[in-house]
Amino acid sequence: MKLTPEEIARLAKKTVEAKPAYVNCEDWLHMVGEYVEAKGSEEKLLTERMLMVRQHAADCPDCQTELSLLQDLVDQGRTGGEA
Amino acid sequence: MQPDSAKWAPERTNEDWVAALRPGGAGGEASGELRALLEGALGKVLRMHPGANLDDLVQAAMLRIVEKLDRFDGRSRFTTWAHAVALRVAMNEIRGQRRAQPPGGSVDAASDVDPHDGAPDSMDKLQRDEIIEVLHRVIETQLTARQRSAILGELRGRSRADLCKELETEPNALYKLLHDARHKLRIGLSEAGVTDDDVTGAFGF
Repeated sequence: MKLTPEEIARLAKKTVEAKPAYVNCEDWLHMVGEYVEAKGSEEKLLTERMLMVRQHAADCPDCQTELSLLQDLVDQGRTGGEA
Repeated sequence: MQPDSAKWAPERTNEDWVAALRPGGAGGEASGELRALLEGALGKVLRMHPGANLDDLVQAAMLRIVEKLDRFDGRSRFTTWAHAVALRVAMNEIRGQRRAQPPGGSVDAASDVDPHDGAPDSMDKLQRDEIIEVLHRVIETQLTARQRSAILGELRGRSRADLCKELETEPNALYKLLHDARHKLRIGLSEAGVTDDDVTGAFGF
């Protein structure tokens, strides 16, 4: 299927705006704790929520940085929870 | 008074934390414990990303955590969630400071070029061509025939009802068809190293 330049531009815009499959940074923030704690539990990681967290981090460098920092803190037992 | 680390977080349930930190809750001790935890965590972050004031960051993080308590859904430990919120506060501050810094001497002349002036247009054109190629490739190789029909029909302004009829499907299923197609397109762009900002810049919307 060959698209016209106008159709391609509209498709590109719609693709970028296709947010439902992706959480935004604010919603992601409130899901990432579950993801970090679930890491290592394959069954839990396969849930739709966890895939959304992983996908968002892959697309968002700022959130990826925060994920790495949080993961380090949790791994080191520095968040006050059980190791 | 500095809380006794032996009595920290593991002894509090999520519900205890939330109840204690809510306005009007018996927050004194819990607040002190959380503050101490955040000081340790954010102190570590500041050693990697210096520039902000630890006390200010901890205070801002405490306020944000209390403000956002209703967003905590109990799917993780409270303290993990609180640290995620605190890290967001800290990193936003650090990123803001970096953006506010004036360009230093090491910045070369090319960075002074306004990205919307002259030459970058050809960059946009190149990027636009690359994006078009990726989109066409994903359409041809990743989308199902039904997804292609749905995407094309939508682009050509056909009504949802019309498309449902042609594809013999229900509105919800058509929505999912379009949603999944766009998801594949996004993944295709992402795998090709194209970001949302690239697309927005290249097409000028």
